[in-house]
Amino acid sequence: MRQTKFSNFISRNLAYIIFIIVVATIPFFVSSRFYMHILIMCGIWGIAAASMNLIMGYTGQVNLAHGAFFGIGAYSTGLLMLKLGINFWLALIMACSITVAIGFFIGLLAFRTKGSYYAIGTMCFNVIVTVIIENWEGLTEGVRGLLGIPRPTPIPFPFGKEINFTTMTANYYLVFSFLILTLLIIRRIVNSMIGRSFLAVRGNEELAESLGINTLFTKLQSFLISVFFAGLSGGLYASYIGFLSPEISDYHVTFEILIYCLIGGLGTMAGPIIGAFSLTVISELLHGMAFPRLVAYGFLLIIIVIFLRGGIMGGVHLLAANLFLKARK
Amino acid sequence: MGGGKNFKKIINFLIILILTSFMGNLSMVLADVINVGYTGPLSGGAAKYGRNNLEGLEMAVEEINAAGGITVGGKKYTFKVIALDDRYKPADTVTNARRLIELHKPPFIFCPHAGGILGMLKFNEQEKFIIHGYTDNPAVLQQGNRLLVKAPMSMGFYNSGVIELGWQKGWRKGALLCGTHESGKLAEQIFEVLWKDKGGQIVANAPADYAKVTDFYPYLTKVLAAKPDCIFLYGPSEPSAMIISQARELGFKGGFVLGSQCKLDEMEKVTPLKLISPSTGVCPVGMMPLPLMQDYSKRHRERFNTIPTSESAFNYEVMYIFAEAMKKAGTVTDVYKIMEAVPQVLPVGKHAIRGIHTMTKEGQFLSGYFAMEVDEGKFGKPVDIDPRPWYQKYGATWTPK
Amino acid sequence: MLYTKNFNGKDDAEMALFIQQVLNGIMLGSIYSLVALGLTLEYGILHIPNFAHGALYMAGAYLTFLLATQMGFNYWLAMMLAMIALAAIGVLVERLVYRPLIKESPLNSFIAAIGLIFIFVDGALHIFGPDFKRFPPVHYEAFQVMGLTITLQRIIIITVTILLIILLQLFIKKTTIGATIEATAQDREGALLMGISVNRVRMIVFALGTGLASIAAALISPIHLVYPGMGGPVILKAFVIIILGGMGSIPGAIIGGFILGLVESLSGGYISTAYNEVFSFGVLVTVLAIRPTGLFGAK
Repeated sequence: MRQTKFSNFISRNLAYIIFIIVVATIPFFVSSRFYMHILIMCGIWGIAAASMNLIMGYTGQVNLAHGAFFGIGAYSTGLLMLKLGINFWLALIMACSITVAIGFFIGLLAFRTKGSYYAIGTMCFNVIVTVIIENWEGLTEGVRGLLGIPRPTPIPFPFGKEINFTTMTANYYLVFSFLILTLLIIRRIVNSMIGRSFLAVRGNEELAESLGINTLFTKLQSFLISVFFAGLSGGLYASYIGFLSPEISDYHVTFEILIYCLIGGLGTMAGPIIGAFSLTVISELLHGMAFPRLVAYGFLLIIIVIFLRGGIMGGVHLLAANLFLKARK
Repeated sequence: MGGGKNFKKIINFLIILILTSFMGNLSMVLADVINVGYTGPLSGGAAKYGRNNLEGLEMAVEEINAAGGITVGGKKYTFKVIALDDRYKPADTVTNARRLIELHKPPFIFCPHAGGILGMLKFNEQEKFIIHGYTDNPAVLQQGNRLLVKAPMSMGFYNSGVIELGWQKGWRKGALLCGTHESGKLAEQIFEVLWKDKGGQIVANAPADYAKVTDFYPYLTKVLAAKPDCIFLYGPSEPSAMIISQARELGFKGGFVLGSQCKLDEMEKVTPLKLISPSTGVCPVGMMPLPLMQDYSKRHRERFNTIPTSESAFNYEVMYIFAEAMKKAGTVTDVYKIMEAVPQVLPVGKHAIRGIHTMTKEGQFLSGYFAMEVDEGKFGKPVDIDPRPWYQKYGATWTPK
Repeated sequence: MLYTKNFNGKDDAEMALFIQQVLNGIMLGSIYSLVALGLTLEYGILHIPNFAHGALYMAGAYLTFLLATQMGFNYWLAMMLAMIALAAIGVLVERLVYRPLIKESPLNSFIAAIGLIFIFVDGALHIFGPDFKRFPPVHYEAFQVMGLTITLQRIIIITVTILLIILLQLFIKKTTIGATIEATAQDREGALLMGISVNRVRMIVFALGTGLASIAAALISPIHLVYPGMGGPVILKAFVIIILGGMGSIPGAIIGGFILGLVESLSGGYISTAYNEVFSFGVLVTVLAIRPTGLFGAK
């Protein structure tokens, strides 16, 4: 068969093309606002998980401050829109920049440490950020929360029309457009030279250093990109839910995102998305059981983590390898 | 191969999980059953608060059903409570609310935290359900929503009576040791503003996370160094009682002004009244000198084996209000008509245990309450506090600035 | 039993205030160190991120509470029995949850720990209810010496903490079992080659660690309350202390604990109680910026 550039392109990107098609057509089949809402939340957490995957899965750094950056992105977006009247799109970009700026300082400090020290150190940063958000009432309204954050500003269209974001469908497309964008960008990075240096640092940091890779610079790069998208997901959350309280930057949020990454499959592109989606859905399904919901959730986590090495994607790869082997025989 | 087999096992397990949970999820819209939704914290730090709210609602529904349900338009209906845990997270509240709408179509949803209520206010008019928002946060009333009712009154009002009693005892120098949660911060500001308005002094402020702090000594040491006449507390009952206990250990002989979240009957189980004296606080619901409330209190204890609280009492009464409003409006589906009927059914006869008698145009229910002193190891007589002077002076949406 | 001494002059009063806050800080430090003691073995030495240590601590509190109230056991007896029960639970947890993950990245164990927390905390919530339970009054006599106050229970806490620290350090450094634990921590394959049963070592560490958590809970509960979420606030600080002191160092963890307690108490007393977590965690961040492996950690 003649291999054209086009068919090459399709086969390499098949998964993504299928994903985009599915995502684009779902609203035509799903009319329930409940399911749309779940999908939107999955999308938001998917972006957060995908960004955490970059620093943790591909660069091997156990960064436990992710929730703080989600929160900083969310609060920045909310405050810029509410207190300065800036439109959503500009506020989002500014919020991501603020998140990266703060991330720069935290990263610089945190990367003086390694391993467990880095992990717990970043967790402390997370707590510090949460406490500051709680107590700096003049800026953030503290524990009372920031309310009335508007939905994304309508985009003007030619012929006097506009795209507004009052419907579930519009928000769905917004969030998933950002999700696909995030995935494509991260994939690009992972497959590039920069991505190779991430993997090198993950594999063996000392070896990478001895090979001439500036590991601090590499780790910081990965960290800042990851933090950028964490802030992005926070901004989307702020506008969609419309209400913020300091708990959304809490270290428990970090743990939740971590669970999505790990259960889905750390270090794979699809893992975080699959993790975010399946765990959100499972958590919802557990509402219907008579058994204490969180106890069941806990058991599920332990079972998956013990029996599925590499998460769901790990299991999928093994299954695929199995079938492949069997097919070859 | 190991991994593949395990993967298949997991898939099987998940399929079974999905199937069994669907059985619990089948669209529960039976013909003559009206579903009533509840989304609140049923796990985590606020679990007790969430449960207290739910207990009142559940008891009302059980009683209504036992009495034969309600008859609307010639047809008999019973109620069913569908309660979902939202872990106090607004995003989860929204998810739960949408789930309730999708599967159970409730005309009413009860929620006990402002974040969740505000989240739902964005779409309750569109999806047509009435919210009972159990919260002290006045922001919920300022959203211009036509399908909201709120039973708890302004925290400023509740705490003003308590402060007044403290002032009458001659206390002038106050110290603040309130919780750092949402209502705690509000209470702290209210205490400060109202106390200073009267001419009192605030000599120290040491906010503490009542649920997280293991040892209150550092906070108390700071507060006691300023030699206050009284200490203002606001937080869950048992930790408040521990603070009092430890303050006495440290030699504090002054009084305590207990905010509306501190329930004296729950505190008594942790710290003897002798140590709590002298103090002023809100009269516990179970001790209110109202025959209807006394009766409810007895039934509540028998049913749940817990102390009845404002949370349960208000939600109980509001459920009855909703049921009566449905009867009066003659419909179980037109929520706007039901909402119109609500003010007309107040007070709801022998179920008006908290005595809700009026509704403001924003949806705020008005009722009274009692304040109380604790002296020399004994509860004092409940003092009736009339809401009108307060509301005339400050209004329904007052917040300290 | 209680008497107050009158102070002449403001300076005396300020001095007394300062000393009381220092005493409070030592008190807090003891609590944190006591909780962290078991964790230093599991995480500091064996590198198992047992975040569920706080949940096991809570289980120990409930068990001691039940034995002391429902079954009327003497406080110390209840403490001992609960400790034994918790040690057994710890062994089970290690065998069923952490052992299968021995070859994986520690992140997997971390997730498993979070799963355990859900099970224990939500389970306790459904079994015991969400109420705060108060321990029956035990050792509540307060002593006032030179204007300072401390209760008997707190004195016991500080004393037992110091005792346990010394015992634990001796155990690790001076006994054969201790040496095998350290050897296993440093090089698992090497230890295996030497004939050390790594599985036995892990079992002992968890039995000890969880048992210590139970003792900590039994000692601390009387000055506070028992409730399902009680492990949450302390577990974070316990991890911080171990990192602050340097992983693998027991004296380090203890000193870290006292530093944290003092910072919290003094910063709360003199600056702001609302921000005291910023100060205490800020201390860790600062120390790590200067010494990236903690105070006494190996470089």
